[in-house]
Amino acid sequence: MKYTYYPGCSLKGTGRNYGESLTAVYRALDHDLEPLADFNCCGFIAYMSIDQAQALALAARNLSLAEQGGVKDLLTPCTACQVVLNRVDDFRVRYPKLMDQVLGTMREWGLEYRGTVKIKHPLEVLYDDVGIEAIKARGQGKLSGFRVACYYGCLYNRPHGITEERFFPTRMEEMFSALGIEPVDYHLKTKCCGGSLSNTVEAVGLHSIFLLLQGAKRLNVDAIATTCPLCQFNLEAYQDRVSSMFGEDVRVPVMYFSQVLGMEFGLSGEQLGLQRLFVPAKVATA
Amino acid sequence: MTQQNGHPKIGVYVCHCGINIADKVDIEQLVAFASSLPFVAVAREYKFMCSDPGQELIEQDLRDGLIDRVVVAACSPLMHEGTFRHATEEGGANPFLYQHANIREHVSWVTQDGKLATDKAKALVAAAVRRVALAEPLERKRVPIKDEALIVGGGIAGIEAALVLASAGRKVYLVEREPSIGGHMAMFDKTFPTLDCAACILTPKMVQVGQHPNVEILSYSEVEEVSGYVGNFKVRVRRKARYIDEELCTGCGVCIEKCPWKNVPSEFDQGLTERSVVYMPFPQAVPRIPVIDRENCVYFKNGKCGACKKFCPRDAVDFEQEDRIVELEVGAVILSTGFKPFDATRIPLYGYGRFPNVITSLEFERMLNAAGPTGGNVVMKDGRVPRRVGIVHCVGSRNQNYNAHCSTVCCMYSLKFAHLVHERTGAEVYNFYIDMRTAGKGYEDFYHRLMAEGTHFVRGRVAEVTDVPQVPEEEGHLVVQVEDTLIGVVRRIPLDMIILSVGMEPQADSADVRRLFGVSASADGFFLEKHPKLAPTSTLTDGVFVAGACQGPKDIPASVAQGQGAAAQALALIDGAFMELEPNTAYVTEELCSGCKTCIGLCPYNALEFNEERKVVVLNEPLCKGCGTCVAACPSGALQQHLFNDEQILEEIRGVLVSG
Repeated sequence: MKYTYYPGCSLKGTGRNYGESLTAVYRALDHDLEPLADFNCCGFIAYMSIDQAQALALAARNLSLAEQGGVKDLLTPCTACQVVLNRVDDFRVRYPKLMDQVLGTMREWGLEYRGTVKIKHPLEVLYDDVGIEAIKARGQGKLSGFRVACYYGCLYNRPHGITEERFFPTRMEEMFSALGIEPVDYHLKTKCCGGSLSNTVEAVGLHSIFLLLQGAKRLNVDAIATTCPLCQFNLEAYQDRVSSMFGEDVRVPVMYFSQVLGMEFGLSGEQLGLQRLFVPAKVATA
Repeated sequence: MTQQNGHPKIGVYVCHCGINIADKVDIEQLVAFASSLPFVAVAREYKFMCSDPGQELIEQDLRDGLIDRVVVAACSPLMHEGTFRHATEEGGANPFLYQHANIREHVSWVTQDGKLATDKAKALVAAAVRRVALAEPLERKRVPIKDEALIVGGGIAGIEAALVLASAGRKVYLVEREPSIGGHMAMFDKTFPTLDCAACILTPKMVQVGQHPNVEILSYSEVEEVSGYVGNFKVRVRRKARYIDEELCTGCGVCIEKCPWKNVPSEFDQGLTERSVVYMPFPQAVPRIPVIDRENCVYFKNGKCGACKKFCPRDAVDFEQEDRIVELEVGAVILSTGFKPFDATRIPLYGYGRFPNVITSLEFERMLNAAGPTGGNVVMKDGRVPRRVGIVHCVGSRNQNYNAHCSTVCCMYSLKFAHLVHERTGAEVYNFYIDMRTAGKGYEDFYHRLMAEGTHFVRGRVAEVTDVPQVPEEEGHLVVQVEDTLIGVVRRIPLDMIILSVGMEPQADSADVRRLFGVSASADGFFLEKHPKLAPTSTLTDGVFVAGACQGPKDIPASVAQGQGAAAQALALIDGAFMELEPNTAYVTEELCSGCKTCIGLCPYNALEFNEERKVVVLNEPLCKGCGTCVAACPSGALQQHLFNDEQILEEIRGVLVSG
C-alpha cells in the first residue's frame, strides 16, 4: 500500500535519518512511503504563540493538500507536528470562531479543508494496519537480546491520540518483543525531553535530558528508541554536556524506533541513516 | 357533545396561588371569560384553592347541585390534581369528572407579558371546560397483592432491608450471587469514624438474617427473569450448583481441610491469599455451606481426586448437582446490588500493578484485618514495616477522564487508614486530597483528630507515582509527584508504601439488572431513584425499590438507612391486601377490532393478547400502564384510552384553538 507522510522541518533537517529509516522500513514491509508534495511548516509553537490563526492556517494548508490528494491517513513522524495538525480538527469543535478565521485565510489562498484527513503516527500504523505478525515475519534475529528503552516522549499520545494509552503506551515494546528485541521496563517513557527548553531555559531543559538518559543508562540499555525527532535530538546532542554537568556518565546511543526495526530487518546502515548518529549503536551482528 | 352528557353543569375555580398566578394573569377577566363558556354554571376565584376553604368551595357547589363536574385552573396537575379529584369525590361526584388546567408552570411562571399570560390562561381554561364536558365516570380497579418480598443483593443494605421486612412478619427472599452474604462490608476491618470492627457489627446481622424464619437466603444465585407488575411479580432465580447438598451439609469444613488443591487466589482477600478449590469465602460466611469451584476442580477436569466426597461425614458432596431454577411470586422488589471498586490499573501513572507496594484500598482493608493475609500487620511486600506511607484520594473519582462523581467515602476511609497506619506502625502518613469532604455526623471531629495525630495533608491531585529517583533521598523509594496547591509548588515525596483510595462505580452488569427490573440509570450509571429528595428509594417502576450503593456511592450509615427505608416502602405496599390502579388504561371495542395485531408488538408491558377464537385483541388490564402507544397505533380506532379518548382530546384542542 502507498502511504503519504508529512515530513515537517525536522525530517529535512536534524531528523533526516528518521525519514530515511522510515521509508526503508516501510519498503521492507512492502509499503511505499512518500512525502506530502508542496508541504509547508506545521506552524509550531513559536509562530503559534504570536499569531494563532495564521499558524493554524499553515497547519490546515498541509491538511488541505492531503485532502485534495485523496489522503485518508496522513502519517506524521514528528510528534510535535502531530499535535499541531491535530489541533485543526480539535479547534474546529472547541473554538469555531477562531477556525472561521483560519478557513477565511485559507479561502484567500484558494484552499478549503473539510476535515477528512486523519493524523496518524507511523508507529501506530505499523502496529494497527501492517500488524505485528507481518513485522515479525520480516525479522531476522539480528537484534536478539538488544536492550532498548522505548521512549515515546510527551506528545506521542497527548493531548490527542489513543486515550487508554495516553500515559503508558506499549506498542513499541510489543513490536520489539515479538522480534526478540528486549524492551526494558523504562518508566520514564512518556516524560518530557525538555522540548525547546534546552535552548531557552537551559537549567530545566538539560536536567530533563539528564534524568531521561540516567534512567535508561541505569537499566543497561544498548539504545534508547524514540518516536520524535526533537526528543531524539535533545537526548543525543547534549550527552557530553549533561554528563559533565551532573557528574555522571549518561552517554548512550539514541535512535529512531524505525532504525531499530531496520537493523533487525537487516537493512544497511546507509539505508537507515545510521552514519548520521552522533553516538553510534554497537550491535553484535551475528 | 351535549348529546352524550345531556347538559353538563361545570364549575370553574381559578386559583391566585398567592401572587404566583395573580401577578401575571388577570384573574377577574379570566373568571368572567370562564362564566361565558358553554355549560359553565359557576366560575369562582380563590387565593389558595388547595387550602381547605378552597376545596370546600368545590364541595359545597357540588352538594348544592349547582354543578356536576369541575375544572380547577391552578398549578401543575403533578401537585394538586389528586387533591381536587378528592374534593370532587367528597362533594359527591365521580372523581374523574374533573379536569385540571395548569396556569402556573405553563403560564404565569413562563410568561413576561400580563396580557399574553391572560390570553393563554383563557385558552387552557376553555380547553379544560370542553374536555371535562365529555368526561365519564370511572372506577379505580383493585388488584390483590402478594405479601412476600424479594431482595436482590445481600450486602449491608440488603441484609438490613431483609431484617426489617422479616421482623414485620413478611416472608423475604434474599438473593445473593456470591456463596455468602455480607457484601463489601464483610471485607472491611474497621469502620469510620467510630473505628468499630466491621465484622463485629456485621456478622451478628448476618447470623440474624440467616436464622430468621421469615428469611430465605438464596445464595450463589442470580435472578434470570422478571415478569408481572407491582404487587404481583413473577421472578425466576437460577440457583447455581454448589456441588454440595445444602440440606445435608452441616458446615463442618472437613471438605475444605481435606481438599489438596489450595492454590486458587482468594476473591475475598483480593487475591492476596490462596484458598482451596472447595471453599467458603470467609470464616463467618452465611450460609455456612461451602462451594466447589468447578473451574479449578481437578475432579471436574479428569475425574480424579474426589477427596472432599470421600471425607465428608454427611455424604453431602454431589458432583452430579446441576443448576436449579426457582420461581418466586412477590409483591415488591428491593434492589441492593452494591458497587464495583474502580480498577486502579486504568490510571497507569499511579503504578498499580507495576509497583508491588502500590496497593488499593480494598487490599489494604484485608491487610489491616486480623484474619487477612498479613494477620493485621501493615507491611510491605518484602515484609518490612513501612516508614512513610502515602494515601492517594479520589483515584478514579472526581476526574473527567474516569468518573466525574465523588465517591463520597474515600475521604473518610482514607482518614481511617491514616489513623490505623499510624497506630500500627508509627509511620509518617501523607494524605493527598483534592478537597476534604467529611460531611457526615461525627466525621469532621474525626478529621480534626487525624490532624492532631500529625498526619500530613497535601492538597493536590497526585500527578504520578514513580520509582525513578531524581535525588539521593529518593533512591529505593516510591516517589509521589504532586502539586501542593496550598503552597503553590510541585513536590516530590519519597514513600515506602502507597494506598490508592479507589472510587465506586456501578456493578459491571448493572445495565443488565436495570433491564431485568425496568429501572433507569442516572448519567453516572447508578440506578435512578424516583425523586432525588422525596422518593430516594423508589424507582419509576412501581413496586421496585433501591437501597445502598447501587443507587449511588454511599457509606455504611447511608446504606443502612436506605435499606431500612426501602423496606418500609415495600412494607407499606405489600401490607395492603389490594392496590388501586389508575383507570387511565386502554380498552378495546371488539366490534371495531380487525385483528391486525399491530398493537401487540408495540406494547412495552405485554398487556395485549390476541384471542384466536374471536379474532380480536384483548387487554390484560392490570398490566396496562396507560402509555397510549397502542391507542395511537390502532388503525381502526378499536383501541381507546380511558381519560384520553379521541373525542376528549379533540375537544380539548378545539378549546385551545377557538378561545382567543
